[in-house]
Amino acid sequence: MSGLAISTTGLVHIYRAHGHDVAALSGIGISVRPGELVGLLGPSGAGKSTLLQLCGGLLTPSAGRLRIGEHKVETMTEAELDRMRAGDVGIVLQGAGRNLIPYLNPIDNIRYAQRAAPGDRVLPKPAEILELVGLAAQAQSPLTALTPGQIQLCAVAVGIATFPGLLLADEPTSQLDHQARDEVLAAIRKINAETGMTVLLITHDPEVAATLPRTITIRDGRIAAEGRSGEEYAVVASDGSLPLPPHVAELLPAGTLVQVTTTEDGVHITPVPQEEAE
Amino acid sequence: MFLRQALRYRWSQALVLAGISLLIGTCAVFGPWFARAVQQTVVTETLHGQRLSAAWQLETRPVRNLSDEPPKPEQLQPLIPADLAPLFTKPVLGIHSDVSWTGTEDPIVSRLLWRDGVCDQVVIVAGRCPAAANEVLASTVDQSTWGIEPGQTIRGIGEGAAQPGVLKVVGQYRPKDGTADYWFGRPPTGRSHPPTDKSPGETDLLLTARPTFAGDLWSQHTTLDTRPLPGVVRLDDLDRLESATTASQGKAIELGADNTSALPGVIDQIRHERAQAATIIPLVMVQVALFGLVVLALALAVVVDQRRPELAVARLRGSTARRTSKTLTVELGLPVLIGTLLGAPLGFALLLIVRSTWLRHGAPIELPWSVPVALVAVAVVALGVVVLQVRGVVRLQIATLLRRVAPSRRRAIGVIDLCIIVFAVAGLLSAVGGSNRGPLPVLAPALLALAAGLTFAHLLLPLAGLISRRALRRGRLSLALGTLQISRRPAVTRIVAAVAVAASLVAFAGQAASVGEHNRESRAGYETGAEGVLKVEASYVARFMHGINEVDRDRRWLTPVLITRPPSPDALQTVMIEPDSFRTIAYRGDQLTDLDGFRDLSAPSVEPIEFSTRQLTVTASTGPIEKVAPEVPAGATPPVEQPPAKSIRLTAYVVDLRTGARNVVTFPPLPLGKPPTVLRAPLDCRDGCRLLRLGVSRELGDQGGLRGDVHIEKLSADDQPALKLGRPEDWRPMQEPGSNQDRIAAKPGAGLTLAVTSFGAEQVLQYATAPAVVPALIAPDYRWDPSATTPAFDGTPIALTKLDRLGGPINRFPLHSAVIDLETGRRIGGTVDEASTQFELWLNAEGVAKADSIIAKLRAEGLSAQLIDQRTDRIASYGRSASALALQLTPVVGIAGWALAIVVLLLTVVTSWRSRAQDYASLRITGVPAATTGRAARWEQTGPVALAVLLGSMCGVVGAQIALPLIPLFADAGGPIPLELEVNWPVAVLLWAVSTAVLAAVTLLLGTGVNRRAGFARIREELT
Repeated sequence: MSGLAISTTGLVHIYRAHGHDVAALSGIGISVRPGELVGLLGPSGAGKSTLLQLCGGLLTPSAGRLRIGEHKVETMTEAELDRMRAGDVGIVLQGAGRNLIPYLNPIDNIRYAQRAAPGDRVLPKPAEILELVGLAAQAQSPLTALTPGQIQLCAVAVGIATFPGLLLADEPTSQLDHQARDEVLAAIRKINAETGMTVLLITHDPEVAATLPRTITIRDGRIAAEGRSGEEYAVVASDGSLPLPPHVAELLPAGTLVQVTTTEDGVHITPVPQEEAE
Repeated sequence: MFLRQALRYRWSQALVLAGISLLIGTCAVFGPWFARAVQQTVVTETLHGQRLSAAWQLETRPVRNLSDEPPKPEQLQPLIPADLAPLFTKPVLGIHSDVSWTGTEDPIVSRLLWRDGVCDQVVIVAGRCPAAANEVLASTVDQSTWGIEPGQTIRGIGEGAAQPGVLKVVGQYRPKDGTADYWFGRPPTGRSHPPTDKSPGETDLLLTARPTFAGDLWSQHTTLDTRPLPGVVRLDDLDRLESATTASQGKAIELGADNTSALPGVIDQIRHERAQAATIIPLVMVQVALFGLVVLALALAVVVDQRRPELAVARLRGSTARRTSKTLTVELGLPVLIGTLLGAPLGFALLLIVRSTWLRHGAPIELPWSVPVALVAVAVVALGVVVLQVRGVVRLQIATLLRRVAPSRRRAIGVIDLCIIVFAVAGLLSAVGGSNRGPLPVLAPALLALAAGLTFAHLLLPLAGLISRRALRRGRLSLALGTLQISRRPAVTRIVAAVAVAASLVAFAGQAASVGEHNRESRAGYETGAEGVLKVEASYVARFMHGINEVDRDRRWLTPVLITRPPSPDALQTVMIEPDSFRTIAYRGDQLTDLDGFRDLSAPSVEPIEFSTRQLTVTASTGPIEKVAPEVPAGATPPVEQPPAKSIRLTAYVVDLRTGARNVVTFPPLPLGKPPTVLRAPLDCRDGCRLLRLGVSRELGDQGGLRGDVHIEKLSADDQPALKLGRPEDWRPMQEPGSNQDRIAAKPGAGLTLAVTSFGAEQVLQYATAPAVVPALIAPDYRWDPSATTPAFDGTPIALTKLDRLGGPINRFPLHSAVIDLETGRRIGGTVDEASTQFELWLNAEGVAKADSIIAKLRAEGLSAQLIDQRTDRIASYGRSASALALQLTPVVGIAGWALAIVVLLLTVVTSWRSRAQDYASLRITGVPAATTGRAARWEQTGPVALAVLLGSMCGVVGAQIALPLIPLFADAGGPIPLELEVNWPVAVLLWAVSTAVLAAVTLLLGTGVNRRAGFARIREELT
C-alpha cells in the first residue's frame, strides 16, 4: 500500500480536566503528502500526542476536519476507525513495551497485530517485516531477551505489521542510547523509503529532528513553525494569524501594537511606540 | 490463537481463577448431591432405627368356629405387592395360640408358637426341635418356675376350644437374641412367673412344629412379619410403599387379618426430615457458592484490569471491541469453565468421602437431575460473570485503556458498592422481619457482613489517610506509610468486604454447628430424662422402693420415677419423683424448679401414724348435737324435712405398707349424745399400715342435719393401745364432691375432736403426712384448672395445687404431666394399676456405666429391669437426623470461607505487588530504612484484615441469632422443650481468634514477600 496523505483544517480537540474544558489543539491545519516523513516537535503539553492520537482515531476531534487518505476521521464510526487502524494506520506508542504483548515473541507479536487486518488485504510476511527493521535474528526470541533498542524496533515492526499507509510513532527514539536511537531511526527511514509509507513521528530530540526532511512544531495547540531541510519557517494559519518565533515573541510581548506593512522587500512588522499608541 | 501462550504467561492467575471456580462448581454439585444422599440416608436410618414401626405385621383373628378352616400364613403373602416384594425382608410366617393349662391348681397361661425356622433362633439346651404335632420346646426358665422337663406333658385348652389337648415337651431352649429381626418384637421373654393376686401364672413361649396347628385343637392366630429393607428402599419407593401399606390394611380385613404397620407414619417422618435436608443443605452451599462467585467477580475485575494494556494493543491494531472481548473471554473463561466443570468430579469425590464417613454408606451412588442442572447453572453464571467483567473494560475507549492507572473515583462509594449495601440491608431487613423460611434468613450473616464490611471499608480509606497524616506529623513512619498505602488503594474495600464475609461465614458456621449440637444434646437429655432409664417390672411400690434402696440407698446413681397414666389422653398423668435425688440425677434436674419449689414439692415431715393389727378400736363420743337444716337459696324449693339424725359412723382410711392398698375401715354406728363408746372394726394389717384419713359418715337413709363435736378419745391397734393422733391442725378436711354444706374440722380438745356439720355425705380429714391438696408442677401445655386432678397408683384422683415454679420442661414427660413427690404418692397409697403405672429408674452417667450391675442387683431383689433409653443413644440418633447431617457441612463452609479470603488476599498481592514494591523501593532510595518499609508492608493489609475479621465475626454471630431460629434443627417442634439458641461465646471467640491468626499470618507473609522484592531495580520496571 502506498502512503496516505494527512490533511487537517481547523482541527480542535477539547478535553475536560478538573471540571474545566481545556483546548489541546486550537485549530490546527497541516498537510502531509503521501510518503512523507514528518516530525512533530514541541514542548510537553503542546498537543503533539493529541494530534497523533486524533490521526490514529484514538480520540475524536471536537471540531475541524481531519483526512487520512480517503478517511474522514471526524465522521467515522468506532467500527470504521477499527478498520482504519486494522489496515491503513499503524501506531507506535511511547514506551516500547506498551505496543507489545509481553508473552509473545517478535514474530508472534506481528502475527497478533495482523489478526484484525481486512480479509482482502495482502499482508506481508512477519519475517519480511522483521527483516525490514533488522530483527530477523530475534524473531523467536522472548521479549525479555531483547535489548531496549530491539524492543523498540519490535514495536515499530508491530506498528507496520499490515504495511499501513500511515505510521504514527510517538517518541520512538526516547529512552534509547545513541546507537539504538540511530538504529530505530534508520529503520523508520528505511520503511519510509522502501514502502512509501507516510510517517508522522513525535520527537523531542533535536538531533533526530535535524535529520528529518520536514518538521512541524506545535506550541499551545497551534502550528508554531515548520522546518524544511534544516530551515525554520513560521506558518501562516488559515485565519491569517502568524505565530511568532520565540525570539521575536520576546521582543513583542502580548498586547503589543504592531504595524504590518508590505514593501517590495516583503512584509514588515513594526511595533508602534507606546506614546504614539496612546 | 495465542491462547496457550496467554494462559502459560499468567498461569498463576489462571490457576487462581480455576481454583475459585473449582470451589464454586464443587459447592454447586455437592449441595444437591449431598442433600439427596442425606435424604437417602435418612430413609435407610429411619427404616433401620424404627424396624418395628416400619414392619408389616399381619395377624389374623381366630376363626369363630374351630371347625372352620383357619387362614394359612401363606395366604397373607399376596398382600405384599409383587413389585414391592424385593423391598421387603423374606416374610416370617407364624401361627400362635394362647393356651390355658388344665388340671393345675393355679391358673397358668402359655403361648404356643410356631414360626418358620424358630429352632434356629433359640439355643436348644436339651432334647430336640419339635417335629411332630403337639411337640413343644419349653424355655429353661419354665424348668425353674414350673419344673417343666423334656418328656413331660402339658394339658391345655386353646382359646374358644371345646376340649383340651396334650402337648409333649421334647426339649428345652434358651432365648438367643430377642432383639433379632426375626422376632419382630415378639421374642421369648426369658421370664415366667407364678400367679399373683393380680394375674395368672405365665410361662415363656412354648415353641412347636407347624403340624400342631394342622387340626382344629388349637385356635390359631396366623401371622406374617416382614419389614422394608433399609438400604434397599429408596426415596422414590416411599410413595409406593405408603400406598401399598394403606391398601394392604384394607385387603387384610377381607382375610380377617390386621396389618398393624405404622409405616405411613414413619414415611411421614422421613418426609419431614427430607424437608430439613432440602432446606438447610442447598442454602448452606448456596451461601458458599455465592461468596465464591463474588470472589470470582473480584478476582476477574482485578485480572481484567491488569489486561488493560493488552486490550489497548489489540484495539490499537484494529481489533473490534467485540473481538477483543471474545478473545479475553475465552482466555479467562477457559480456566473458569474447566474449574467449574472439575467441580463435578471433586464434588463426587467429596460425596464418596462423606458417604463413607458421615453417612456410613447409607446412600446409594446416584446422579440426581439436580446435580447436572446445578453444574450447568453455575457454569453459566460463572461465565456470565466473566463476560460482564470483560465487557465492562473492553468497552472503554482506547485512550482510557492506554492510561497507566485506571480512572477511579477514590473515596466515593461507587454505584455497585451502594447497590450491594442497599441490597444487603434490604435482604437483612427482610430476613429479620419476614416469617418465611426462605433463603434470606440463612443468608443473613453474609448479607450483614457484606453491608457492614463495605461500609466499614469505605470509612476506612479516609480514616487511614487521617491516621497516616497524624502519624507522619508524629514521626511514626511505619504507621504513616502503612496507613497511607491503605488510603490510596481502593482495592482495600474489596479485601475488607471479602474478609468480613469470610469471617462471618466462619462465625456463623461455628454457631450453627455448636448450637445445633448443643440443642441435640439438650433435647436428648430432656427426652430421655436422665443419662439412662431403666424400666422396672414391679407390682408394688414398697417392693420397688425396697429394691432400689438395697441397690443404691444414697442415690448416687439413680432416682426413681413412677408414672401413672389416666384413661383419658387429655387428662394429666402423674410423674412422681424423689425431689432430692431427682435434682442430682436427672438431666438438668436442678432446673426443673428452684430450691423452694423442690421444698414445696416434698412430702411433709410429719411423723406417720403406723401400726400392725387385725382390728382397729376407737373410743369415741359426741358432744351436744344440734339439729340443723340445709341452707336453701332464695327462691329455691325447700327440701323435704328429714327425721332427726340417729348416729354417725366413723371411718378410717389406712394404707397397707406392703401392698400400698388403701383400705377403708368402717366402724359401727356411734350413737349421738352417749358416753364414750368403744367401737371395733376388723382389719388385716399384719404387715403394717399407715393411718391416712379419718372420716365421718352416716348410716344409710340417715340424712337429718346435725352439727356438733365428735370426740375421738382413743384409737388403738393390736400393737399400740393408743395411737398418737397428732395435733388438730395436722388434720385437714378433704373436699368431697356433692358435699357443699357438709363440714368437718379438727379442733382442740381431748384426744381428737372433730367439729362436724353433716347432712349425710361422708366427710374426710387427711392426716398431714400427705397434703389434702398435693402441690404439683404442671406441664405448661396443660390448661390449668384448680379442679384438676391427677391419678394416684390406683387411678383415684389426687387434688392438686399448682406450684408456679416450673423452671424448664418436665424431663421425659413434658406434656400433660403433673410432677408430684413420690413419697407423697406413696402415702396417699392405692393398689398399683399395672396397666397404667410405669416404674422407672433414671440413671446418671455413672449409673449407666453400672447399669448391668444395677440390673443384676435388682434381679436379686426380685425386680426385673431393662435399660430402655439412653441419652447417648438419642444424641446419636439426632446426630443421624437430616438436620444434624446437613449442619455437618458448616465446617466445610468455614474452611471454604477461609480459603476464599486467602484467595482474595493472594490475588490482591499478585496483582499489586509490583506497584507496592516500587513504592517501597522508591522510599528506600530516599533513605527510609528497609525495616520501616518492611513494617509498613506487613501491616498495611494486616490491620484492615484484622479489623475485617473482627467485624465479620461479629456479623456472623449476630447473623446466626437471626438465622438460627429459622433453621429447622429438628423434624418436629419439640413441644415445650425450648430451643437454646444463645450465642456460644467460647466458639465465637475461638473462631475469631483462629480466623485472625490465619488471615493475619497470610497478610504478614505476603507483606514480607512484597518488601523483599522492593529492590532498587524494581523502579525501572514497567507495570504490566
